[in-house]
Amino acid sequence: MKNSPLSLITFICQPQSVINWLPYQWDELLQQAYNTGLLARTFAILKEHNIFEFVPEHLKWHFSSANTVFLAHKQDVLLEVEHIERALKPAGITPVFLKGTAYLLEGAKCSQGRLFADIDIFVAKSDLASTEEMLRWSGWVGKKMNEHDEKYYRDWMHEIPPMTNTRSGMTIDVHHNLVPLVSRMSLNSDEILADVVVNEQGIKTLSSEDKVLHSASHLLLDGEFNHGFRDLHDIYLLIVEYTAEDPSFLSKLQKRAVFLGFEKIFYHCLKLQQYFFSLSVEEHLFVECEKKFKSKRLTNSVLKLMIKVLTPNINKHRDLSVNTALFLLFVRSHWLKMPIHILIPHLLYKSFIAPIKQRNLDKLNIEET
Amino acid sequence: MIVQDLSSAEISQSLKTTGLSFRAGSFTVNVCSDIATVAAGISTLYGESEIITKVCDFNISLEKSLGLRKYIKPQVQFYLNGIEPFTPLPFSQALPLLEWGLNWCVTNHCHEYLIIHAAVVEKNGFALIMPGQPGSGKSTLCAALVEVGGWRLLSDELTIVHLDGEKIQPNPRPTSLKNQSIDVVKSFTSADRFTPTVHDTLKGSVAHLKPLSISISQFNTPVTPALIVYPKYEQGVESCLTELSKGDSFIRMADHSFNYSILGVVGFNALAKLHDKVNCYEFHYDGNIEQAIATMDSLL
Repeated sequence: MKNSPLSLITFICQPQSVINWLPYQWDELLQQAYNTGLLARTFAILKEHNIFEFVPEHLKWHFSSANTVFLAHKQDVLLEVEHIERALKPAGITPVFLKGTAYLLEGAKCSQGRLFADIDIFVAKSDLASTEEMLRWSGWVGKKMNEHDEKYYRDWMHEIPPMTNTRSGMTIDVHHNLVPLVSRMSLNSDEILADVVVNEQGIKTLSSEDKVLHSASHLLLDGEFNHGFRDLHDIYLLIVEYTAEDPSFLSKLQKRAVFLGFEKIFYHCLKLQQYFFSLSVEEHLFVECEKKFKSKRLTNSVLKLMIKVLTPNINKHRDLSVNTALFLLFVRSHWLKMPIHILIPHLLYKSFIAPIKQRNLDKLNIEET
Repeated sequence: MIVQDLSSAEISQSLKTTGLSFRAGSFTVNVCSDIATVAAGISTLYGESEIITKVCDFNISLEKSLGLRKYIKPQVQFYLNGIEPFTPLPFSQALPLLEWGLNWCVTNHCHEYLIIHAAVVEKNGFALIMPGQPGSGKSTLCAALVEVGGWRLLSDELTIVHLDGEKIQPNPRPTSLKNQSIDVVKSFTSADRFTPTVHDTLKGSVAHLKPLSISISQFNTPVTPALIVYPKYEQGVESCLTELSKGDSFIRMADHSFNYSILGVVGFNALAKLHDKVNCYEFHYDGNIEQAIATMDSLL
């Protein structure tokens, strides 16, 4: 019904172009920014380039209100970080902050206008039990899980079941690895922790290269793309920022990817950056990765699916080809995440047993009330 | 040009193709839908609303669920710019879903104002704010004041307070009536301003009532707040009005607000300045509408 070319991408790549925009382009930007969760970031970019005044008067509030939400969110997160540090300090644990929280703490450009639901921290496996214990002592509670979900998290995944701070209501995900334990792309968490950086306030985050690779692995392996375009743009901003500090950043990133066995993630992620934001990447960085691929054709077919699902489009839910691509990527993510002898029983449980259990539980709850 | 200048065929056609852009209270929407009850409902509720040619605030689409759901227990889905914030509802609830969805669009995205869950009406240039829990009789009282008592409807659901606390921004949208209040209000209002009652929703039976023309045309005339009255409908009680301290009212208003915590200090200041200007009361009433109107008039 409604057609949407990509004013959002034009805006990201050449913010100044809005000076000559027609109303329909603002309409598209507004809709695509809503759709991708980038309203507050759009506000930040408009302000950074001193072009907020060009937004049609009656539409300005959408961007400034989104920024109000972001400022409140930022305040909440910074306070929560203090709570977490205070809770873990007595045990001598200083966690590594991941993703959105890390961007905010290091003042990265991509933290501006970025909203996120949970705080993610990463601790050494040896510190995991005491981290969980200390959080409980300070008022965090774990979500009630059934046996299957508990096993899913503890034995197969790279994080423990989410915990909620009963006072602030915020949720924390405690990681002890960056990819699922049973995944096909296993990762030695000691190698990640060895490269962690500490800022002047003593806050720990991943190294620049690992931040990018971690974000990319989430984007490309999770099998869900609700925030996909935003994550893609986060990575773009991170790369631009790190390259400005160190022109050889991309080649270091590629070396790190090869070291960790993340060649495919590097390849897909950088190809997507080229495609969407015209990021310049030297061809030889790809060539070295391609050598590792069993089938170059398959890798590029997957890339096409990724482009399909990541393109901002407010009519996505009606598009059969997008839905098919989403399904294929969902299957792929599970294929990568779990070996087949775990995957099949897990999917059977999730599709048949879990819904029946849930229905019985709902019935019980209704009867109780 | 207003919506009723179009024929019902033209309205349906717009809804099915480019979307119909019209004013809904203080905001503008573009609605896409090929659902007949949505087209009929928009004709009834928004007939006097201005057609918009500019870029709209909210791009909404209401769609019948696809797949098996098309045939077995059909459902309707609400999208804002392609994002689906709610779980689907039974197909018969498409029009209530549009109204609830529009409220959500405003309360979830607009933070240029302090927004409070309260009805608000105006007389002689002064606004009367009526916050209330569901079942407090706020909508019935609000409809009585407007339809019988000569007050002007600013909003039945969302009281939009300027951040300086000086003015209330009207948001004249249809009044949502539930269960018994539908028949009560129908007894003193012309039936053609009502949408058909939809039964078995999460809120029980629901019908919507189009605002009066004066309300719709004055959508951009902010009003000075003067009164906050907390209504409570109780069968068989003696109607009684009791004064409430501004401190108590402040806390209750913060509690009824959608974005007080997002606005932080700014929201606190807006609510404080608002309370500098108003008198606050609790009003227990037994459903006697004439008496209720007389009581509210006496406060002016």
